[in-house]
Amino acid sequence: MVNREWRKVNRDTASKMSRQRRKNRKNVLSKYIPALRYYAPRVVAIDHPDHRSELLEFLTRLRYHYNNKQNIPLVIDFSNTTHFISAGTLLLYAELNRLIAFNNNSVKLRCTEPVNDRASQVLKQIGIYRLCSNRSTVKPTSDDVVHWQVVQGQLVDNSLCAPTIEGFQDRIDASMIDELLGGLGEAMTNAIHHAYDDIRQDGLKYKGSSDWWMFSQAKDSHLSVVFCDLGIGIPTTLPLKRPGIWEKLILRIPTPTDGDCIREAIVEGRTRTGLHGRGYGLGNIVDVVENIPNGVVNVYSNKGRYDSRKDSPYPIDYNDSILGTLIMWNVPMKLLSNRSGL
Amino acid sequence: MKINLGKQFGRYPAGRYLADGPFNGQKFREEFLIPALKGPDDEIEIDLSDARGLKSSFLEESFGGLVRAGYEADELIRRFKFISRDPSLVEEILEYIRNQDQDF
Repeated sequence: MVNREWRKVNRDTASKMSRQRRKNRKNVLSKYIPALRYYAPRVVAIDHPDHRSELLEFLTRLRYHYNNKQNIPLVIDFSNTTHFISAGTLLLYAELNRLIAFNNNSVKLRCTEPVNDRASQVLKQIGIYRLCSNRSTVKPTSDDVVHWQVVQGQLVDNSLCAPTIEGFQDRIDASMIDELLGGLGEAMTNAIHHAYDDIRQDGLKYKGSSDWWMFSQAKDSHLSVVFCDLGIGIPTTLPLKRPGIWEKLILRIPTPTDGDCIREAIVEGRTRTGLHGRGYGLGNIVDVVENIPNGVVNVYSNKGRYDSRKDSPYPIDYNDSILGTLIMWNVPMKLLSNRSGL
Repeated sequence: MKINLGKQFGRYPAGRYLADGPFNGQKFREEFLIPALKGPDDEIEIDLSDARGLKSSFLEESFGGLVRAGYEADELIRRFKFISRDPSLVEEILEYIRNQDQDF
């Protein structure tokens, strides 16, 4: 008799627990919101017009999601991505950081890994997997991936970049390290003094802090150092901050393009001190490669671009804006004797 | 009087104003150059060789800023003696002292 009653109590408890489990599962399912998937471009780059358009459209879609669909998880699908080119990659990294800061990391951001192993190593090495809470087990081992480094800051502070740049001191001259650090210091100063004076026209109505990002990549026999801010861009600041230069420019070119504005700011800065190789502001930034054979500098700002090469394969004006400024120095490195067999 | 920029102030001086960052030109001017100029009227040796990445924002604010603060360019040129591996750096500083320009 007692046993029968005991079994009944057990049955009732089991049934109650089962009902509760079903209810819990239903609650979880009702809260489940499927993520929206955005496909990253095959090539992450900003120099070739087609690659640039694909990347900038992709970034526009991400911004729209962060601005309008904050409660919907977001998945960046890198499965088709095969190439990360340094300037485009830094822009992507900077935009992701800005978006995460924009809504205080409230959008659930995830990513799927590229099929291409090297591309996956890059995402791991520069920290995009970390931003996307991806626990990929891929290990960066490729020689041209392990030297990718990213630095982020909000002040003019070259001690942040120095360990990365000085890490190449066995492959580039001390004077070149000096020049690169000088160029970075000027780029940081420009970013902090001018780039964030107004709201960036990206639809977020968000000023954010005066962030900058620096990225270095050693590949083959060249070192690329890229600096980026997500501010209002040189063509926007030129009439406001350098009215003298702007007035001279519009006398010659009544409706200057962004490329015209960048070139004018550089040319004026290079001649301002009257000393060879010691320019001012943007001039200083370009002068970094002045005395370096095969050294190249590119300045991208909004829709424009400046290229120190006379035979540049890419245009000085594009149809779409990167909504910021990106400077890329490319300098040759010495080959290490113990690397000759690689 | 001797000032070693890289060892006494910072190895990576950059930026113009106090709010810019930790090793800016205004700070160097106010904490090192002006106190040195207020001392005995003799030569001030400024060694730049241990500092890395010196460029115009820092240099102009440090040295051009002295003229804006009321110091005579001739006095500064007479008293400062620079040590640097790069002669163009010294030329640039002298240029900022001679042609101090508020519009930078």
